[in-house]
Amino acid sequence: MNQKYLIPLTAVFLLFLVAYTGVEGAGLQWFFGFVFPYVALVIFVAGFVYKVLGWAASAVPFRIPTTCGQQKSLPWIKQNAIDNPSTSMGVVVRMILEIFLFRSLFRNTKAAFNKNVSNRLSYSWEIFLWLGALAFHYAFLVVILRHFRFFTSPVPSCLQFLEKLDGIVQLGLPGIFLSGVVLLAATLFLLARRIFDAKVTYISQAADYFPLFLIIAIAATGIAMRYFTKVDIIGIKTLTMGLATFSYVIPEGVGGLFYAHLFLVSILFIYFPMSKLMHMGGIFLSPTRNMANNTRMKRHINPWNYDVDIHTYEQYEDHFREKMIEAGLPVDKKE
Amino acid sequence: MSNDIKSDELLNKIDFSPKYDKGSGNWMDTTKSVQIRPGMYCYAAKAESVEMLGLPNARPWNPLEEDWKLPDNWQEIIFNGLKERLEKFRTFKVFMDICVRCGACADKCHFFLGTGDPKNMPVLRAELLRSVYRNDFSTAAKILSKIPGGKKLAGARPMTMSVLKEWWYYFFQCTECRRCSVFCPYGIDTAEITMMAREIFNLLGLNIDWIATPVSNCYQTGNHLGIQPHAFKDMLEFFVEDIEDVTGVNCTPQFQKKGADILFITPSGDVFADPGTYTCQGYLILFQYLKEKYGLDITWSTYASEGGNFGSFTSHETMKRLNAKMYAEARRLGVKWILGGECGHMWRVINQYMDTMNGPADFLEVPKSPITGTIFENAASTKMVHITEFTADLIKHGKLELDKSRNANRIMTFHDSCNTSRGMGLLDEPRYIIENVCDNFYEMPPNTIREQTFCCGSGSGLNAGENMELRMAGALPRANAVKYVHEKFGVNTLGTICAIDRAALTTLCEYWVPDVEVYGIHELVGNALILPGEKERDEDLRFEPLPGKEEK
Amino acid sequence: MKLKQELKKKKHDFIKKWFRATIDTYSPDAARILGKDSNRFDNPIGAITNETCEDVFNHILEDFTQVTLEKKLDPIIRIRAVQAFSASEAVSFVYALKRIGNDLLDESLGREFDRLVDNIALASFNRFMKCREEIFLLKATESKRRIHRAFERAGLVAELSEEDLLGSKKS
Repeated sequence: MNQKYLIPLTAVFLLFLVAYTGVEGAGLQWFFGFVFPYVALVIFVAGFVYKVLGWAASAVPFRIPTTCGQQKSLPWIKQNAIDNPSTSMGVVVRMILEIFLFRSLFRNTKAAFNKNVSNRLSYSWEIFLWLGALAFHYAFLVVILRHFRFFTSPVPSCLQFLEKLDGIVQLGLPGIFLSGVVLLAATLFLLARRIFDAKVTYISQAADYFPLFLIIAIAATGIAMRYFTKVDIIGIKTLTMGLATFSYVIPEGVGGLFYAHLFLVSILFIYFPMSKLMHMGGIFLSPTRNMANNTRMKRHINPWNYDVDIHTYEQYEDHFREKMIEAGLPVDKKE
Repeated sequence: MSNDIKSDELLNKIDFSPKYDKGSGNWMDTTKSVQIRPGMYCYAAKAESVEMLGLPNARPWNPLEEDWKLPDNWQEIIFNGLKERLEKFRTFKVFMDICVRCGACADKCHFFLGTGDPKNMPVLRAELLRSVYRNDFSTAAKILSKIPGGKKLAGARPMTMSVLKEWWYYFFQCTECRRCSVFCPYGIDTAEITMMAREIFNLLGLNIDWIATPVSNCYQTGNHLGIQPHAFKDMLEFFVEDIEDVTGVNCTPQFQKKGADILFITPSGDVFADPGTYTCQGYLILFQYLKEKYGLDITWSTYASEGGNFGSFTSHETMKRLNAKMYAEARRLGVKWILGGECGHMWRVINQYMDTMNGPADFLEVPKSPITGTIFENAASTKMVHITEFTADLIKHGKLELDKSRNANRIMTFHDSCNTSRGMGLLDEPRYIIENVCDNFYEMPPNTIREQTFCCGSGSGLNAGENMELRMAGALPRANAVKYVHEKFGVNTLGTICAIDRAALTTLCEYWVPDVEVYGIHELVGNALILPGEKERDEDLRFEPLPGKEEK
Repeated sequence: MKLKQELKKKKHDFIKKWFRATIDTYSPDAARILGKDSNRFDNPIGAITNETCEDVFNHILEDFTQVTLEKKLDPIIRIRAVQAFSASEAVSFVYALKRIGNDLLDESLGREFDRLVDNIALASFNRFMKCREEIFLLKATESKRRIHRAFERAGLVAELSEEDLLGSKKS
């Protein structure tokens, strides 16, 4: 077995057990239901801000966008204003497409549809990477938004509307939320890809498996609570509203599974700012994407630009004067 | 007899396949030093070249030897070097943190596709450095390391001599072509990471000679080859003679002319290395035509006689030191603006660095074509125009008389150079020119051109001789596409707008597709352009008979 | 004759296994990627290896000479000659055919098939050496040819002829 995913898998399993037994056995509801979520939230916010400020503190000395299309040049040559933007408007569009549609990742897939030599449609994981990533991120977003119903009273109408949309497929009782199912499926797909797609296996680290296992565990506990075990929703809402209003309430009858779910979410919050998950913030700050390719039009300032030694023309002429005169090249000083 | 071995048993005993260290399946666990293979690496920088530029730790050393003769505190130098660069370059810091190892870039690198070495996957190349970054700079990783299994979770490893050797080997197997960055969902640019790694190498005196010596030459004599002023002039005068033989017209250029309208700078490869020399003759013919017809006043300079900038493969500081000559000479001569020749990394530097480094160029005017009146708004601040922009504009305005039939035997395809495509976006200008000077033009497959173009495998200072295997392996994806259009459409000419390409693609073609020749775009212009007062041409600039003029 | 008929019948199995064996000479991590059936411009090694295996195999079913065989082998050998293989590793993929033949062919045809493979192996040695020679020539002469030829044409290094630079006069 591979250490790379064994260690994170064990870690997630242990974390689950810690919370479950902590509550069921040791009665540490106050810790897992009240103290730790706050600790996690503080670390998350502080860590996130610290990281982003850290990036922002580093200079952007040069304007070096990756240009992926025709530049703006002569008026009759059609510029690709999105992939090679020369204005902030173009950059904004590029970033929106990048952030909401993962455009660069989609670029991968174009080639995948080509026929190969043997004239078979070539098989490729790439389109699935793009689809899987989109499905994962959007499902996650909807799941998070849906959870705000636990922290608001009354539940805002937009959240109710979202829930309605999410539960549009009427299946069984309680109704299925698409987002939860998609989230779990997409995460499992991304995990499978890491385990079975050769190139991704090779580059994957334990740090890539850990968040996947963590999210799978979170989704699984969530789904288990909603569909399979009887949890005391009223009790949970009392607790979460307590968290939202900074008042200590530990209701009776909420089982260990819920605390484990909450604990794993807290762990995800803590892990977030110190991991690759920070790509969520980083994507906004990536200088190869968020800058216009207009360095020739508008001067970009390097805050730490400093003077350097150069070999001046005078030194050059001093060095070569005789040869230059002999060759009939103009010189500034005749001797 | 019982001890007779049957032939198939014998066969089973021989294993011809290479042996690979199966290890733990984790590349980071390599405890052995990387195996530096001849043919895949470039020779170490000569001490004199390093000294000339005043860079640290100049000494003779050999990458194949155990001892690299580093200063005792080399780890500290690397740590401080990384720290400084993390503060100075947001790209570096962000790219160290946000990679999710999704694998989108993995099979986009020409070196990976050509060598099959998994450490040439862009993500892994960067991880070589990231693993140390996480060890040394990430508080989270430091905390994680304290709990069991935490080091694994953090993906960190300490800086050791074998890590350094691995860095050196693989960061000199990256041509900074940026193809991976096109496919990365966060725009992570391995070129940027390679540039940082190479800056670190220079702090330790670990440059390669193919970069260090041209840089030192360029600094002192004005060009990479170290050609002195009189030889530079001789060479251009020789071209003038050749052109006169072919066309009957004298195209003598001007040098260092104060008060000229335009200063022209091109990579010295165009002046001194075949087949760039023919492109250079193309420039001379174009300038003569414009001078005769429209009174264009353009000058060359022996001081700023290098458009290319191997400094950019060394460090940002060295890049700036070499690039400074362009503006310095433009200011001294009092020209209105600068015109730049066909070159790849030269244009990455001009487009994305020059104005920031050595500007503002407020002593120059916003470039305006004296012939068509076109104002090059896209160069309003740098004041430097690419010659294909200039020529495309002339053709569009019908200012050039062209005889396409002289290039009728050229069945063209066009190789986008990495730097002009992914660091600038100069894609349609050269194509427009080709279509106006040639009849037969076929594109290579879409996933190998424009922003997805494959590198020649020799960029960023890796076009040495000793690493020929690496270059040819890296060239495979490009060659594969050239071969395809060669076989499908009979393409016999590979057009390009980069001096390194002109040299490297020629070698590439010799090995992979021997029937294809490499041409600069302005060589084709030079052949097609009808000079005022020219004789009837029988030969092209290479002294080959023109189509229809072959001896019967 | 019987052999060729048999080979024709099992052509697809042979080619598939041979391709797999050839790709498996790369490191396992690379092999898994290179062995993917993807666009030929996105995976040139895989595509060319596949095509060449097929071409060579089809070729041995016809009347062939060592010269034509060598030519058919060229694309794959040309690639392996610049990769991190030793000479024996570079041509080892040909011998994989013997193993495959062992599995797929009747024992009575084994000897004849082995001889056929030996022919392919000899041709691939030849081609490998030619490719290596080309590489060495490119190494030795590239910069001299590009740069000195230009100087020579300009009469700046008139005393040296190209032959001198290539060293062919001395040898």
